Amino acid sequence: MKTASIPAFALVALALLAGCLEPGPTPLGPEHSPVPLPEDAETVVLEGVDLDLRVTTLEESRPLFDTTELFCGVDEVSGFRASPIFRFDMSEFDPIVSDVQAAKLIPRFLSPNPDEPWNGDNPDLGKSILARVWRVPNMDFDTEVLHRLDEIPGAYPITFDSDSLIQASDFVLPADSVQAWLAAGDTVNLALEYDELQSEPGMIRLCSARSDSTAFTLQVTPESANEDVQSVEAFDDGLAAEKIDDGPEFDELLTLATGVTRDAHLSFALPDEVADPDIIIVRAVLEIWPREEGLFGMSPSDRNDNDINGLYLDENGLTVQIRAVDDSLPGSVGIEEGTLLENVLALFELNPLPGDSTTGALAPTMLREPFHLPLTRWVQDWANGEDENHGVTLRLSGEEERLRQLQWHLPEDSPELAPRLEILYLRRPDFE
Amino acid sequence: MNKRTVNLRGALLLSILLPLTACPALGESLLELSPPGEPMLPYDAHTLALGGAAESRWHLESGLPSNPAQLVAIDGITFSTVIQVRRGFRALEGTDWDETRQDFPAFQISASLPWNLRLGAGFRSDLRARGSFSQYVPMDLGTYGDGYTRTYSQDGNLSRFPLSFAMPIGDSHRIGLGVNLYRGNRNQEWVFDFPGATSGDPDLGYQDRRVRRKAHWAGTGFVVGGQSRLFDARATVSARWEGPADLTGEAENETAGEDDLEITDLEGRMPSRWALGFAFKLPRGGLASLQWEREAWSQYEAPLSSATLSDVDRLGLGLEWLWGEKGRPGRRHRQFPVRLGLKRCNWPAPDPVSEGEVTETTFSMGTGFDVQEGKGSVDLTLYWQRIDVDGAEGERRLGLALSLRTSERWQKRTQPF
Repeated sequence: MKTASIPAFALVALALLAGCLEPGPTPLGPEHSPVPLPEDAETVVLEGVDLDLRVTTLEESRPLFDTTELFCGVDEVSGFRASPIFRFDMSEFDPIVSDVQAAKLIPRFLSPNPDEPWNGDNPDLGKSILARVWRVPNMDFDTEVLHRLDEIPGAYPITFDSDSLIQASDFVLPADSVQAWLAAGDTVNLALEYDELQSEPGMIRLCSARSDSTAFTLQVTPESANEDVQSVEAFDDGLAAEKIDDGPEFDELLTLATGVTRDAHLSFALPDEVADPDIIIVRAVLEIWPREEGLFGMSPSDRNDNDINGLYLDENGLTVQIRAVDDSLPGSVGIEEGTLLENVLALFELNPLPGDSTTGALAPTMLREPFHLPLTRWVQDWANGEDENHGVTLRLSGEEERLRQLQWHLPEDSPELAPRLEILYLRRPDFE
Repeated sequence: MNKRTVNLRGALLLSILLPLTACPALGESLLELSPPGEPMLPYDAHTLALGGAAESRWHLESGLPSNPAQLVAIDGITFSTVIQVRRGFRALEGTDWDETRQDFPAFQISASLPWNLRLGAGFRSDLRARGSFSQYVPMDLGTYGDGYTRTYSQDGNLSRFPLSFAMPIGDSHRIGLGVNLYRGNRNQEWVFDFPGATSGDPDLGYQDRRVRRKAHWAGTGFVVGGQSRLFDARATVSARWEGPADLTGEAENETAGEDDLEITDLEGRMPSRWALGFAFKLPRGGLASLQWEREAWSQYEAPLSSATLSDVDRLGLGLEWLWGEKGRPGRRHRQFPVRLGLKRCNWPAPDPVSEGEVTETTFSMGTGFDVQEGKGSVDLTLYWQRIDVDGAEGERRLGLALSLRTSERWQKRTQPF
């Protein structure tokens, strides 16, 4: 090495010395902070009576028509009645029928073979049922279909049909009634009602075809052989659904159900401590306790009706959608208006059966821990006044579920089971 | 180019590159946390080697003028820049603090124009306010942990973008005029780090929170400078004055959550600054320079909160000799410069740890050599700083500055087609 290179390589050594030693964190303590120190985080908890959690049950009829099967009947467990309604425009018959010999309401099945219309895949085959066809007044299905059929003024049964669900039964309508509808060119609403007193309990699958507005057709047979009248399809669909939730069992429970959808609207006031624009919410969780006996349901993989106290889950389990409501609920069925945010979370875990070594086998699932609703982001907006606090809605959802129901306790006098809202918050620090 | 030259230049290149690659995470000075920040060294290695006393030098060896009148000395198009690497040590109660930092505090591009005009534009970093500290806050969070951490961090700068014109007046006088485009910013942030979410759902856990304030401001101030040669060019005097500048800007403050911002208008005023310099030739080819700078920080109207500031007086003394034999016709120069400098000044802001007044003393030593057959230069300076804090333990720093100046003349080039 040449002597003249020594200083240069000394510089390299210095650079290495300066470069390889990483500085540690600044050891300044908070007493030397150039800005005021923030206040420590605080927790506020509301539970039971102090929380004043108000739960409103919301029912919705349309989801039954969004499924691939059409249900009719009564779910005794959830207390829901499903009565599909079909709307026909009688002026659409062409040519004009002068004399009606017969009229039938005909379900549209997947198979064209009337002897095997179900393709053998309907688990309700063989059930003894009594279904009646009612005519209900022309009404706004979006706002009025949730009333009981027999409480609707002007509704009346027009036909009775007692049968076992074995084949593709038609629902015969009185010819004189149909004649009158045709003469008036009215729009008629025909509802199928399942008589639970004279039928086997439960709901039945009426169609295995896609249960949209074309699930049923109205066929008119004229007396004159010269008239070749085409059937008409229902042009609008609706469903009469109701809930039977009288009694304390429903008053102290938060219930979510699929099938005839049963949602819940939860509302509560934020504690005064966090109602401040300078509050930063770190965590806001609403805790509710499950009711073990309140878990039941029926899944496509379970063809043996309801499986009480156990639930066969699909591969991805059930989900609960939590939505913040950004506007006042219009009446009792307004959850479609004003939903702002959505959060989906897995609720269940598979609970393998003892001794079941079958890998991947469907296993009953149990609720084993409280349900925690993560509300941080919404409580943050409510606390800061960015959004108004109109509560949240809960919906049990899943693409494949038919009828399922979950329940949680809402007792105000049982602290161990009472809903509990816990909020951890900070006050926004100043920089001056 | 002989082997020794290759070794020398290769080693110098490594000395530049290694710190860049070895310490990508830059250090934070304890002294930077106090607003408006820590004074930087916006000098090239040549000026730093002379203790900052370079404004009165008639020849602009560095290419990074502090006085706009020095632009007259440039020729063609000149680009200059500097990199500084330093390591600081400070003894604190219960712990010792050391930090490594790299700075890129200045660059300049200058050009000679017709009618003996010169134009220069560049960048100078005057203050930097960067730092952070953390605090653990114990708190019963149940199964999630026993506390959380809050961390404060800030990052800010006050920089100048000088834009200057200069021209000679006769053979013995020069004048320069220009503006300083001031640009300042400060980003402050509190981070609240809570224990992570469990059960695979982040919404169920605690959310980390950040609260930020991002502020920036700008202003423009005039600059005038001059140089005069005296006593048959054996001495030079210089003067520079930088006027105050009104500052305007805005700050973005988080108000609700992390998305909403509240905009606040900011106003401030930069203080005036001036410098006087004197340089004279010494026997045996030596050159001595003196300089006094004053910055009226007590008149500073900070756009954001600031500590009570004091005026800064900066005194510098520089000495330079050429060591070795003069080159003879047909042979290379055997001379290289030896530079020594001393700078002493107070800082505008007190120490954030002890709140004592801060005084800086810098000893520097440097040299340099020509490149591009004399059209450019590389300068290297080793400096040692003693940062004294009134009533408390100070900081010691060892630093290395390396600057590069390169020049090119205008050439009319014909297209190849």
